[in-house]
Amino acid sequence: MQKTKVLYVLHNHPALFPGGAEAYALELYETLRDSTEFEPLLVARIGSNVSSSRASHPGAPFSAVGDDPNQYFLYTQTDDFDFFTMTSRDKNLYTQYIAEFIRAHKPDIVHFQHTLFIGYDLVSAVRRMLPDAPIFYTLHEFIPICHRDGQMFRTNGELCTHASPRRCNECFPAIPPQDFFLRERFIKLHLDNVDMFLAPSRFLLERYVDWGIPRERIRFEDYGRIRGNHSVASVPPPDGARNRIGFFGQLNYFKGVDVLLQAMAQLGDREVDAHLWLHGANLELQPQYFRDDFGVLLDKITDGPNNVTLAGKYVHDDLPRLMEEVDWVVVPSRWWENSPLVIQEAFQHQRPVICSDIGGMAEKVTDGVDGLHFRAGDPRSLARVLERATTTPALWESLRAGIPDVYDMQSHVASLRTLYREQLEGRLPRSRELAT
Amino acid sequence: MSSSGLHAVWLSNRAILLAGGVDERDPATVGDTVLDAATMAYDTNGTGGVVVGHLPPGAGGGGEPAVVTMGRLSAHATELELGDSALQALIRNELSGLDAAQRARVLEFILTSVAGDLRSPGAITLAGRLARVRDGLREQLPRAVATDDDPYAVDIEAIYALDQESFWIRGWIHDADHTVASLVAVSPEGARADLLSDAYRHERLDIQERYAAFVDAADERHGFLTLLSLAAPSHLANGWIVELRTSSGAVLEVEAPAVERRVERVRAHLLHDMAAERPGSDALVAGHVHPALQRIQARLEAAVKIETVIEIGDRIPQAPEVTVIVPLYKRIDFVEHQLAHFARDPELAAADILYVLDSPEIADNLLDSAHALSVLHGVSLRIAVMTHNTGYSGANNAGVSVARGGRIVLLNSDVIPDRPGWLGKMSAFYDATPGIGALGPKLLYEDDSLQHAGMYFYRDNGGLVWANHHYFKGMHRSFAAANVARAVPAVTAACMMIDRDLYDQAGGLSHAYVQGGYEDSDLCLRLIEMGRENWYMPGAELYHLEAQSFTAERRKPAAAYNVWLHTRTWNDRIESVTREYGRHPLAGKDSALAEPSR
Repeated sequence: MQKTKVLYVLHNHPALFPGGAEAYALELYETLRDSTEFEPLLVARIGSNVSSSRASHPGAPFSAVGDDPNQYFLYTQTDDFDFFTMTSRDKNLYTQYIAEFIRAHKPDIVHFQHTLFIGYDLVSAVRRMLPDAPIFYTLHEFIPICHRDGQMFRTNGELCTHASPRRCNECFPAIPPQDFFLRERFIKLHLDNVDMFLAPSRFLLERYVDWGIPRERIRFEDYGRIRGNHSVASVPPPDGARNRIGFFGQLNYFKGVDVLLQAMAQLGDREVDAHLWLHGANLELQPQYFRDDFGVLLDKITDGPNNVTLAGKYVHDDLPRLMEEVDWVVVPSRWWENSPLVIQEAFQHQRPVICSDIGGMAEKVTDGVDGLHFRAGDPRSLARVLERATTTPALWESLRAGIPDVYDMQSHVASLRTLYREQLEGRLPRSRELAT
Repeated sequence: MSSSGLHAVWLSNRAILLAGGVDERDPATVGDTVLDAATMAYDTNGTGGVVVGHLPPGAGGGGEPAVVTMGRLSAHATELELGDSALQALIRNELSGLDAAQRARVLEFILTSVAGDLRSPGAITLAGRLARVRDGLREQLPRAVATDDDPYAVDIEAIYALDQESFWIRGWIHDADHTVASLVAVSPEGARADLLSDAYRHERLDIQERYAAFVDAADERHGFLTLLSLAAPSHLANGWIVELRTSSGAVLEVEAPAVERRVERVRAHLLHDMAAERPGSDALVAGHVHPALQRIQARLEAAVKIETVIEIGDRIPQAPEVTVIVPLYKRIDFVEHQLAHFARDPELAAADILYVLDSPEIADNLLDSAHALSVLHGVSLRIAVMTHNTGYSGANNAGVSVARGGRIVLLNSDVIPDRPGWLGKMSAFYDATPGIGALGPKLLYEDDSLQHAGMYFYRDNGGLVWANHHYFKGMHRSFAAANVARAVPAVTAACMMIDRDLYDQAGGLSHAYVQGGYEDSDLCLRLIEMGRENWYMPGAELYHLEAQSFTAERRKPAAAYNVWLHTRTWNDRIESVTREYGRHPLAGKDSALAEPSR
């Protein structure tokens, strides 16, 4: 039997720039490569903002990735990309270059993991070229809904519940409401061609249903994790205290790392014996105000309780070793989050999670069962929860016992298989003409 | 004075100037060709004079070195390009001895004789020659060096060319002694025209301040604006002079700045100058600005021309019923959004989609992206590129002239359909409504409030003018009274359906309005005069992403002019229409075809 060809499209290749969703997509591709039923094909966008390597072949944005004949880099000019409507200003990208690739490979299914730097237009282009191929789209954040990096976190510091031209204009006064109207219309026109959306959290799913995606065209499907990649770190602390706290992720405002620092300062004031290891990077990419605030906070802590260690950048393979050294993983994000991979990592390493009580975090971590919640954005609330976590005897053991199995890649692939088959067999062929 | 010699100089490649001991009874010839000559004797006694001779049509040799004869006299004329020193010699030897009045007559005679040539090819070269003649013959007055103590002073601040013969001049004059007798503008080519007798005078606070030492300064209307018409065209930007003479015999002259000819700027300045209107009056606009603007508008209208019409995509409908005309000016980013919406509406695939690009400088940009968008979305369209910017009505009328459909939809580029099916609904409504003129659909803002549900007229600006007003603007789209189809005084051209024949019979959109505004209601009122009714229908819904705020729009000088012109043109008709329809739409004519919106 001929294998079903599935094309995955993503906005970045983990070989060039690390990223959680990208890493997952590559793992999914690699897992499917061993399948007898599917033949995966992967196109990962590269460009000047993530890599110094230019399009290596004149007139062709595609180039091979190593010796894998089914993996391709797609080079797009970052300058050509319109970050407002998320579209390439150079439409030849779709109508000429990618069209040629699609015609050459004729995938049976196209599964978009991300279209940042490529553009939603590609969904329409694929639909026109492959009228019968099911199109899947995995949603990772709220970029189609929210111009603020898809965070749904307002510029006035409030969590956002829904977008509208007027509300978005309040967040970005320089952009008229009419433009937000057009943005939403434009993105929806393209996403209309998606047969099935996948939402890694129920929270995110509901947001998109509210936004207008028909409920029958969106499914909850979490990221799958490859079990074998990770050892479970479980070195017990020497004195039996469970007061080692870890943060893993980008050091930025949306991730709430400053909330965590303020909470640590308060713990210091109260002379609670606890220590935080901050594992993360990209502070230098953050806006000046954030770097300033962060620096002031860190200096204050260093001069005072000295209960924070800035541990720096880490690579994914270091995680087991780094997780060994902490008891708790804190996810203090200000924004909603979707299905944070760090929660899966923590659970995989049997670490209870202390997180904000909102969105995808509150969904993935059950307060009092496998972790603890605090009031999002509130350092005093976080300090209280941290104090309770690090000083309550047997709490750590009880929460650790409540940690569920992580959703593994094999189960995820089985679910995707069912969805792919449903679409391939159950749907009526489209009547649209093929593009000429 | 008498002269025995003869000098000859080409003024253009048709006209030659002779001066010397000429006798008007003698024919003037260049080689074997007899010139069509006009002669002016210096005085009645002498034998001298000047002749302006023209080669007969079709004759060769114009502007080339030639021997010119007149009676017994002959002279050598060097070729046109080298004639400057010969011209100076002619003036020095033959004309400099004349008195000022004689020289003025000669100058006027020469200019009159070649006025027709100033409208023909070679006019600019001729104008340059005439400027030298003017400078050689005109009596130069003392150049004014104004101090704040002088009882009189004049300043020309700007000259704007409206067409070849008419100019808009802005300046001020200070005349504390009330002795200024005349103010005469002299074109570089030597044409003279009185500046003050028809000028509009207005207060200038800055000049009052400057001459505050004079008793009456605060009462004086120093500023003047005038529409100056010359007997002969003027082409040169530099060299305008204004001469001032007082009743006590004092004279002075001032130089004027270079002439501004760029249409957009000229029009903007004219509109800006409307601010000098006295409250409650329309003397400035009616007597000065309007006739000046209309010269520009007429020029623009005469120049409306399509450079080319380009077909994009391979599914251009062969016999479309409807042509959708979208004029584009500067902004083309909406095209992508419109085409993405059109792409999923089969009715639009069957229509003739025609973009009219009124900014030809971005044609390459538009064609490039339109081609890729056509492939991406599978839509076909046509693009008419204008030869140059011609304005909203010019672009629409040009679009209609190449429309393939018997029915037209005028559509703004910032109008986005709410959902497919709008075009068919409008067409069905149009077909089913006897006596219909223009048809307008429901237009919405991005937040689902009403932008357009038909238009009526109301008195604005202290009741002096009739402004257009949209029914129920800002109400929710479901607002009951806006969901009734009905005849209305007018509908917006942001989205307007009309049969092409009817459009042509009505004369299309008027070119009299400036920069887009009131052309739509003007057309609708003409349709009413033709016995038609204009209709609003709520069943077709589109978004009109009008970004400009209403107050900002109203403050624009163009809007002030347009509303004045609209009122002047239509006051009586608007009064009767307003009586008939009433301001409240439900007091108007309800339709048997009323349909719910959704």
